[in-house]
Amino acid sequence: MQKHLLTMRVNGEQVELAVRPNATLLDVLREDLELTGVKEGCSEGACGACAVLMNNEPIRSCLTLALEANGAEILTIEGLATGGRLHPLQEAFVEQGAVQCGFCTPGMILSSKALLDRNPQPNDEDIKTALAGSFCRCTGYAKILEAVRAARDGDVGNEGS
Amino acid sequence: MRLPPFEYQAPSTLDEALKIKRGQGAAAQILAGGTDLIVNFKHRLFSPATVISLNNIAELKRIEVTHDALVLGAGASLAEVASHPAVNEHFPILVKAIDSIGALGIQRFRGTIGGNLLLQPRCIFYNQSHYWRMSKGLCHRTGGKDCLALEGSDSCHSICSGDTVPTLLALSAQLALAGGGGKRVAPLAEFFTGRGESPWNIMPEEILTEIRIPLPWAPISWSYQRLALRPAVDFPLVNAAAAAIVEKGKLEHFRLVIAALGPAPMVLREVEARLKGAAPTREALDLAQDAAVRVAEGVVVANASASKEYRIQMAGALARRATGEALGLA
Amino acid sequence: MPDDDYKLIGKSVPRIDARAKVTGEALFTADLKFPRMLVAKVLRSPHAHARILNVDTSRAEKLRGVHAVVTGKDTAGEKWGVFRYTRDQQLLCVDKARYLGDEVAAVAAVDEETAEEALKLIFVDYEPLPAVFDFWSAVAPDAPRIHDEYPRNINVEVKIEVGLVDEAFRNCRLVREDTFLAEEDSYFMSEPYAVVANCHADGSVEIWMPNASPHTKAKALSNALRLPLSQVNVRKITIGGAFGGRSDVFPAEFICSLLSIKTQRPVKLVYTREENTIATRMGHAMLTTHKTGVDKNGKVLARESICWLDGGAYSSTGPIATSVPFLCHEQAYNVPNVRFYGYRIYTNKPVRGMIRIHGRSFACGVDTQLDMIGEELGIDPVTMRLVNARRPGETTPTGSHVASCGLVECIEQTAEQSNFLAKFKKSVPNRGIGMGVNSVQTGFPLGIRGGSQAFIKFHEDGGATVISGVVDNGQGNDNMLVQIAAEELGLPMSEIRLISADTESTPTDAGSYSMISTFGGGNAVKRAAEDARAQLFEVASEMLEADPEDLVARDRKIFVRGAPDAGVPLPKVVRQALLLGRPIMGRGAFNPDVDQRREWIGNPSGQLSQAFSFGATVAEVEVDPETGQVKALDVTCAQDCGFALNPLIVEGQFEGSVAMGGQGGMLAEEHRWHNGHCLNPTMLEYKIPTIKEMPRIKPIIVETIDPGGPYGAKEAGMSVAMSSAQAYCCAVGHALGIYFNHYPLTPERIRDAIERKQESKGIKTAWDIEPARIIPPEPKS
Ligand SMILES: Cc1cc2nc3c(=O)[nH]c(=O)nc-3n(C[C@H](O)[C@H](O)[C@H](O)COP(=O)(O)OP(=O)(O)OC[C@H]3O[C@@H](n4cnc5c(N)ncnc54)[C@H](O)[C@@H]3O)c2cc1C
Ligand code: SF4
Ligand code: FES
Ligand code: FES
Repeated sequence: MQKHLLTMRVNGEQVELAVRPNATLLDVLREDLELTGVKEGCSEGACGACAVLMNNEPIRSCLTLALEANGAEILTIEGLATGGRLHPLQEAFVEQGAVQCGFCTPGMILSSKALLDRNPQPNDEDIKTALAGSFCRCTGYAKILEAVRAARDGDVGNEGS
Repeated sequence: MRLPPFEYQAPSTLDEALKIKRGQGAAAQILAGGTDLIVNFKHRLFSPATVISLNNIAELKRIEVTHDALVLGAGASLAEVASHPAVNEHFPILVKAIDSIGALGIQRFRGTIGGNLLLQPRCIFYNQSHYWRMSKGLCHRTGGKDCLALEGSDSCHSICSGDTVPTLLALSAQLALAGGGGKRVAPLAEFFTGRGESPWNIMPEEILTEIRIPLPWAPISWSYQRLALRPAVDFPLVNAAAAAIVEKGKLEHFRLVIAALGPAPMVLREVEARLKGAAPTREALDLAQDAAVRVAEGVVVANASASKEYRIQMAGALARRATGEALGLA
Repeated sequence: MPDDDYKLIGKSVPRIDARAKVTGEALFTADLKFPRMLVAKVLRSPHAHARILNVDTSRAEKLRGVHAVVTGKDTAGEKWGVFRYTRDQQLLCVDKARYLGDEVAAVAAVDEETAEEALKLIFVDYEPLPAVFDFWSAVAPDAPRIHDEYPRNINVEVKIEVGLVDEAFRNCRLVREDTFLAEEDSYFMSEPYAVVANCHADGSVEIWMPNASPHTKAKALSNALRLPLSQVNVRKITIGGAFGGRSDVFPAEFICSLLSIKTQRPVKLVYTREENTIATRMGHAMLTTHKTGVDKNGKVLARESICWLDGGAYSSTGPIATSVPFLCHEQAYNVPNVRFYGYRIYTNKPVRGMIRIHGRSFACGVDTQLDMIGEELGIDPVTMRLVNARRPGETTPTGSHVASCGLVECIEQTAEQSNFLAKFKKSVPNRGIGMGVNSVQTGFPLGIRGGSQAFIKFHEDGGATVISGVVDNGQGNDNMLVQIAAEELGLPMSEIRLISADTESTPTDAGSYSMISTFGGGNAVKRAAEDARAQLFEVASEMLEADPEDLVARDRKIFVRGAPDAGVPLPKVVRQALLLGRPIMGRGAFNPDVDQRREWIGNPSGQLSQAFSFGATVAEVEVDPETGQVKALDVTCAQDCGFALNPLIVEGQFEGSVAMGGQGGMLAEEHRWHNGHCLNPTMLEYKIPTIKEMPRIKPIIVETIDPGGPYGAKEAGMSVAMSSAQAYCCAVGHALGIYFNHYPLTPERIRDAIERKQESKGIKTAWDIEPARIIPPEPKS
């Protein structure tokens, strides 16, 4: 197996590395780039813990060959806060109690971000459709829904985290 | 979970891809969105020598409307298809079918329409880990001599599960395939073999290039029905699509398809024949339901996440609903 | 606490761990990486039951990149069991494999590919043995024995009898006997199981893994590895959910440690989702026959319950798992005369543990039967529950005094807010409403005895560090401890650090497996903080020339009550204490007031737990009778959690409980089998709920201020999980006029029941299921 050169932008930074063709994007992000905020919950596309944004669209890094990301822009949860300031969605998740164990959180937040970027005023059905591919076993989703609504409405930064 | 070793090629033209295919045949596997293929790799259902990515081939992603058909490039993503104005204008049923697939985050942006059509047929004894299958024993599909779901059966009954399949069939879609001998066009209806171990009439060196849906000569009324145990992240337990054209109170065209039952989608031609030419009445509902149950009884085996009996019953229920909705009888 | 206008307690403050979790900074076990770290993989039995004749590892050992291979030969022959009398699991199979997935060997190699390759080079000679996959076949006289020492495959037998049961039945107006069956369910916590072990040159081993009790894990590993407890250091790590499924000890941590000791390198073992399902724990399948007798008002006078639990291949928490379904209901409902026979039966299936809605068939059976009795007597479900509800000050049949109990309030408030009676009486086709009632223990002993201890030390700038053994599985325990300490010390939460769940540096704690964390660990931290505060007041009283009794700590200041402006800053007090040579060192311990003589099998009598939580849930559903699919519309849930230390967190627990207990647990979640093979070990095939099907949830917090709990708190969420399952069950039943007795209520079961209903008459359960019977002891041969 010959290694190939992979060039992509990850969290705003250009990266270049040699990868085996059979490495998934998940493997490369977690192992080579040490972005362990990308979680592996099922490795089969079902749980959504490994979601990252590729060219602003939510995808499963466990189902994507790393080489397929060549030339792409990747955003992981580590790249969301800027200069130590949380993204409004991150703030909303903290404030609304949408985080329990936190394992689903990176995927949830990134999927929510893709939604809000696409559609700044989603209704509940839109939010549910966007998050239907992300399992959360802890929260029953109620507070996650509230967090996305709060971020949508700019209702963040009230409690100071 | 790791993938088996393979070489990777990402040609930028169809010709290049075909050249690799010609050289390697089945040993080179096509990667479209990979949302089915990669899972199957992880389960070691396939270990190809080469993976050919279609990602860089722009010509496979085109969506266009010709004078008589909507042409979907096999490599167009589900998102592109579902948001395309022509698709929404002519075939909202296809948008509904696409919306029902898995979940937005799984395949909407990566999964392709071609990949959905060529999704490997599923079986609860097959879509399992390597450890699981090895400890269970082989079946027709994995190189063995029996079917674990129906002992003594001489072929595989795995399930054609693509959500767009019954819809495309109800819309009389045709497929364009490219291979060693150039391009050929085949009706989707003739594409399925009915055998799970080799479900399609496709040559090892062929690539699916287009799906063509003939533009209807009159407005279509339609229905897509689907049953699953969960409203997302769940393959259909059974699905059904109906397309009808009613003119001057008479049913001029009707097609009813049930799928996710066995290796091939089933067109209920008998229902079509009985109903065509007359004004639709509620009798059509019982007719569709009975026909669907009868057909389902012949193909369903116990290899999904619900029992055989339930799936057969539900084939009837969904055929009834699809017919009702398409004919405005609901 | 002297004044009850708390600053932080009772407030919905955001969790302290949330920030690290929304930025991806929080590390879970699989995220750990060390220099020279190896990767481990486990070879699992491909047979449900087989004798292991020989394991040849020679070729695997020779593979390049393989550093160690371990088999049953490398174990010290110790068996694991939660109790001394249930030690039945070899942490690597020695002579026999007892389920598909049992650990037979393991390797450590430079990478995952090499480790996988090496597994293929291990050759095992098996002699397959006949296997049993359900309790009926397992208890048959001629069934193969899974463990030689357990005739008829009966792993645990619990018998409880209180009152005059037979006499009471004779005096009943109505006696019913019905049987209820529930299939296996699973945790599906988001994080798959993982272990990292790192053996050091001094012989000590550090271990990280998601766990519900670091001290239990350490103790078991110290036994199995024959290392002193001080050499086995279980470290703190972020944990991706537990729900009961992380309490026990698994072969994984033993194997990983063994490999690390052998290679003298760090070793990481990450389970696949499938391994997490089959090789950690899953829920029991359970058969329950309830015989219940009532007077004319619906008051239950006597109940006899016989339960069979499918325990899988090993004991795990067997004696507890067998008893708890009964205990929850002896708490929830006041039944004076009770008899209980519980049998946990071995089968050649994965090992079963306690799950958030453990005992579905028992609990749903109780409420379904109450509804049946209600129909016969013309009494509505709310009255049936109120008539029988536990009240404060009472004592359960097995002798637990119930100090606080808000069950009546829970029932009344959920009924009122859901408009239960009106909806129940007005029949809308295919719409239904149902109520479930349950109660759980706030802590019970499991392997480890004793309570929780905590220390608090101060930094020169006035900040403090709390040291506690309590572990956070995701439910928010870390936050709870800091919130309590901050309240007591008058510090902002941001100035309190927490060291917890590390067996080397923190004192013992029983673990967060039985709803004890707040009650036990919270109390210990509260006492430590009170102790520290008393020391601070001592010093401050000299500085302020005031009586320590009159002092208050708030906003980083200590002042005389009513005169906040004249106070001294807390950091100054801390420094003064140092100068005086009286450094502030807070200590606290809490041992729940329970009867230490009580034992699960030997002596099931006495105070089980110091406090009990109670809950009632109302579910409203709509059923599609053609497909059998259920849509949940609204859920109203109430729980007496004693006192809500953080309402935001409590609500989150309720909502998660509705999802897992009701939506998933009653409508969809079950394992399906083909002989010993689990057909749905993955997230795709096991149907946990998505956001799409979740109903509107209205959480109601009922507070009773338990005299023993910290600020009166007990536990949050468990009784909602359980009562949700019951509520959904009764609601679907009400929608269709069917009494369901086989769970979960999947579309096909509902369809089947609808078809059967057309043939049957009278008040009956949907299916005739063979009742659970008393299993006579094996005749001595
Ligand atoms: C968790 C989960 C849930 C899912 N749920 C659903 C669901 O509900 N409904 C549903 O329909 N699907 C579902 N899928 C399956 C899959 O995601 C979709 O069917 C998707 O549309 C497949 O498209 P793809 O482009 O990703 O296919 P790929 O995985 O790239 O390809 C699928 C197969 O087709 C072959 N192939 C693809 N394109 C061509 C071509 N042009 N020529 C020749 N061969 C080709 C590939 O070699 C492969 O064997 C699910 C998958 C996952 C992981
Ligand atoms: S249907 Fe039978 S032959 Fe086909 S994959 Fe399933 S078990 Fe194998
Ligand atoms: S790990 Fe990729 S979807 Fe679960
Ligand atoms: S917070 Fe635990 S899975 Fe979502």
